[in-house]
Amino acid sequence: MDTKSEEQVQIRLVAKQQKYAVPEAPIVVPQQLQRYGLSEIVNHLLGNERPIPFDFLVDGQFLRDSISGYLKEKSLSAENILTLEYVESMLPPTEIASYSHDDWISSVVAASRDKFVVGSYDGIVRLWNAQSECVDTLVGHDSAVKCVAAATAGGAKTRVEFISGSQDRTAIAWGMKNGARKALYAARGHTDSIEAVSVNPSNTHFVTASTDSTIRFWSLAAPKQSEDAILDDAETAPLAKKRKSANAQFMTKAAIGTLTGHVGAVTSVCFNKDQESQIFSGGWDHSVRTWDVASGVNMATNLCDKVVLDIDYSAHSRLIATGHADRSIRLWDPRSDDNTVVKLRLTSHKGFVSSVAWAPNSAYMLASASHDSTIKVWDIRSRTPLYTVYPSSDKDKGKKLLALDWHESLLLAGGESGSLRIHSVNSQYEDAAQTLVQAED
Amino acid sequence: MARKGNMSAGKKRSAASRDEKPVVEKKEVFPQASVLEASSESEYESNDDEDIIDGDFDQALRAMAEDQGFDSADGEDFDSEDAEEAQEAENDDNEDDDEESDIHSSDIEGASSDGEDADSEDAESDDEEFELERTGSRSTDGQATAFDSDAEAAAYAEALGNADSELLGDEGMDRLTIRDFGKDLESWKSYRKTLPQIEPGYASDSSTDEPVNTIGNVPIEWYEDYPHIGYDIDGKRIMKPATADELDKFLENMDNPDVFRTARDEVNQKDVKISAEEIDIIRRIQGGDIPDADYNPYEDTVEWFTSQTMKTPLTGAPLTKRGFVPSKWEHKRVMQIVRAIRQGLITSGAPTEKQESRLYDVWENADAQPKEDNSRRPRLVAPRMALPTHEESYHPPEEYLATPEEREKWENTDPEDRKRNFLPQDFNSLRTVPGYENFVHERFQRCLDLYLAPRMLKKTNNLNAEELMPRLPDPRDLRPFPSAEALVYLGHTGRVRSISVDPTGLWLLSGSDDGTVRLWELVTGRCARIWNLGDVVHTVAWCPNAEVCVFAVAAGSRVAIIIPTELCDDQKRLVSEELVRAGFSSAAADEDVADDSLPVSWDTPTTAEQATGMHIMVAMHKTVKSVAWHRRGDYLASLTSEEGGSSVLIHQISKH
Repeated sequence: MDTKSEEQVQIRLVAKQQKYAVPEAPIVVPQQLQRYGLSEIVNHLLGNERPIPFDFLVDGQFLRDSISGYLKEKSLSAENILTLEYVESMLPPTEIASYSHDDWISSVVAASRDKFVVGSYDGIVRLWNAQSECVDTLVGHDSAVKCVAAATAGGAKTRVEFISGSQDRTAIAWGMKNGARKALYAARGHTDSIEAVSVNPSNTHFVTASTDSTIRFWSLAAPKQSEDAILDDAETAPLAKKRKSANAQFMTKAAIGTLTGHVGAVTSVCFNKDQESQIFSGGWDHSVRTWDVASGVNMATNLCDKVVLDIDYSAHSRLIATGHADRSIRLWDPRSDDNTVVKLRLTSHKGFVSSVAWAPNSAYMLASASHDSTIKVWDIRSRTPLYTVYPSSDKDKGKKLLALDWHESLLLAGGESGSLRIHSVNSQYEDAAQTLVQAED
Repeated sequence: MARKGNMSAGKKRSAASRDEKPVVEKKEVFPQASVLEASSESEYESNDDEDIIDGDFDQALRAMAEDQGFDSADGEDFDSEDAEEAQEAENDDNEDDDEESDIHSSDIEGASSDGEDADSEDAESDDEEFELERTGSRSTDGQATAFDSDAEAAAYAEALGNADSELLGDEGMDRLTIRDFGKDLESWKSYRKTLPQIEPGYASDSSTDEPVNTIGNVPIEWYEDYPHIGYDIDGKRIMKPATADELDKFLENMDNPDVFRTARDEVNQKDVKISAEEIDIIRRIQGGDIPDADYNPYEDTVEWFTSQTMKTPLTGAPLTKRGFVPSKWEHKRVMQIVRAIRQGLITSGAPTEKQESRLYDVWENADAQPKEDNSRRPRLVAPRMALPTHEESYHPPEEYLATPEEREKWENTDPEDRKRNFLPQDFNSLRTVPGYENFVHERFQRCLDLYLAPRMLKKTNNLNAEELMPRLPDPRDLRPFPSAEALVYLGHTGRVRSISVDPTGLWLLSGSDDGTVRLWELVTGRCARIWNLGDVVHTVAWCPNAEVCVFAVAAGSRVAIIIPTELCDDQKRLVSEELVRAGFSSAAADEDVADDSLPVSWDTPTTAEQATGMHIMVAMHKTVKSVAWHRRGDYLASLTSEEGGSSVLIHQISKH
């Protein structure tokens, strides 16, 4: 045992962040060292009074075992110099609060650190602040709200704050008008439930995805007058008038364009944050499609063999993450044209991956919520999740999670239990992401 | 002497008439006889001398044979009278032969002994006598003498006859005729090709004393370096003879007039002089001819079986009438058979149609059981008899033999109770075994067993239980199969009896024993709507038409047609409502009288129910177990628990 414990290996420690840089000369360490031991060495070299936890990357993969274990797994010789990149370790997410709802939460979005919009299956959109207060309860949908998206558009008088899509086939833009928060207009045109809504980065337009297998493209600004005439044909007009709909009073907005191509329900849509006119969508037809909304052209169709439940695009890594019904997360590179666009498949969840969200400031971090009631935080350099957040209260246990949003250092999730779970994630990576973006620029 | 000649001649004749052969044998007669005379060399010479005797008689003999002999020989078959006479004469001769054969043999012995004692005084005559006797005795044997053909035999017999007559005619001519007779034999000899006499000593292995090299087919070069050239038959070395040097050889060759026909036999290390005949043969071989100088390849064809018809056929008898007239007796026999067939005494194997009698057994088929087809049934094989053991042996080992006590016991037990029905017996040889007295009885018993004892074929099943089990498929072949539970739709309080997925695949309906129908969002498991029908829901079924949004629920004895309003947009709702209302409008037009006898009544639900989306209630008499839509979505089939014809009903939504 003694001889084994004395086995040593030469390592070279490198850091992308200048403030954590240490001399690059190789050092000899015992092979038995694990992450903690290595972290101690780095802290010692840096001379930190308060130790900072670090994670270590070998060949782009996190070191999860001891060095010897890694060498054995890759069947590498211990005589070579091993280059270890270290990054500041992310702390596990901690639950800050839990806001309770009467019905299932279908969607959640944080407009700011102090304004959380929650869409619920009872058809009500609720507005919460950070102090656990329900600021507003917005009634307008006939049926379950399926999706919400934050937006910032309009002037001081009429300002669109967020949009909600619903099973009643309408999307309602909510905002401040004359000092009161109310529905500004209803976007009509879909013939089936609206499953996803996404606002473009410059806050001028939004797209909706529906189970009627179309994606519609709308302008965000409130219309001057109702655009019913564009929609209603002679046959259904009397029926629509007769209809006792809660949102019938709202001004109607018609779509600018309709993107058809999906052959099944479209479940998710998101804007390419780098290119204003490009959107990505996923649906039940197992396809992830790239569209140009300006021209209405389906630019690329990538197929996997499972239903896509949610989609998100990261401006930092320029990858698409999709959540699937086969309990896995797939990462796609939209820029590659060949068929091998699935870069990575992450499997750890035990239920449908209902929602995925990239970290707003990181090229590597990714969060996912699943029907197995867990949130998993991933670093895409590792195939295994960094952290798995299990429900803390008995009420949430075994309940499906349906919605997830990552806003700055806050991770919001909600689902079947009706409680909005808010987690705090330390954003130590922000700097790393910044430096990375700067380096690429 | 004369008597002997007469007798021998008669015997010859009989031999001839019996068609017995051969000439070859006859040729051998003389050498054999001469060998017996034990004066071998001179014998040949004397024979040779006889060859030279003038051929007049010979020619006459041949002519006679051609003219007369053929006729007499061939005629025997056809001229029955002649044949019979000849046969009788022969028989007489044969009898004579038999009587006198013994005397003959003694005569021969006497003659031979005379010859020895007298030391061949009058050798020639003695020779002739002996020869005649020999031939005579041989022909008496009847086996040794035979002829090539009838013609030859006949000619031979004729010749003998002539000789006889001469012999009989004049006692003094005796010697001459016998000589002529020998000459006659010589003429027969000329029929076959004469081969040159074999010189004893040369080309005969036994007569050479020289050691013969036995090395066999081995290249002679192998012995070049050795002093010996091979091995003789005793395995001793044959040394190479001292060879003369070249000068000596040359001188020798110069002296030798036969040098050009001398060849060297390397194996036996000696010079061989090639004879003129051999040179001739060599020349012929070289010239590609047949080596045998005497062989005539262009011999005249002998037409043994001629194709030419004779001008005077061998028999002139005209064909009889009998050959053309149908036989009277045959006709009689045929008529007899015809009569028998007509009377039905002779039948063919085909089954005749059985005439139905007017009376029949009414209860014949009372307990009608399917008749077994005996022809299809396999034959029952008779059980095998036990094979005999050592006990049945005629000479069993001692331990099998019964001791006196056992024998007594066996005899005292009843034959029925005996373990075996015999006691082992010992015989010295199979020859002494007596006939088995119980043979017939036991055969009879076995026949009774086979005939009277019921037997049946016992079928045994050799299947093992595992073979009867259906073979389980390999799980790999069944992929993809559900591997993990994805969703649970919680809410029902009773047994869920039926589920149905809507045509778009987004919604799921479930019907339960708790009387409710639930509408679920498929992907999340959210219950979107509950309809309470108040009765056990057996079946839920979406209308397969994608243009409408309608489903049917079989609850209790009713079938409800429901439009889930929240799922359909204005257009779809309009179409769906039109569909469910169409039937009622047509019914109103027809103004049918409500008839309870109809198995189905179509009702409009109450207003409260209509508010929930129910549009039609189809009431039936019995519990509806199942409903199914037609592909087009207009017809609906329902299955009730009712027995009889009206259990399956087809309904049309747009017209009822």
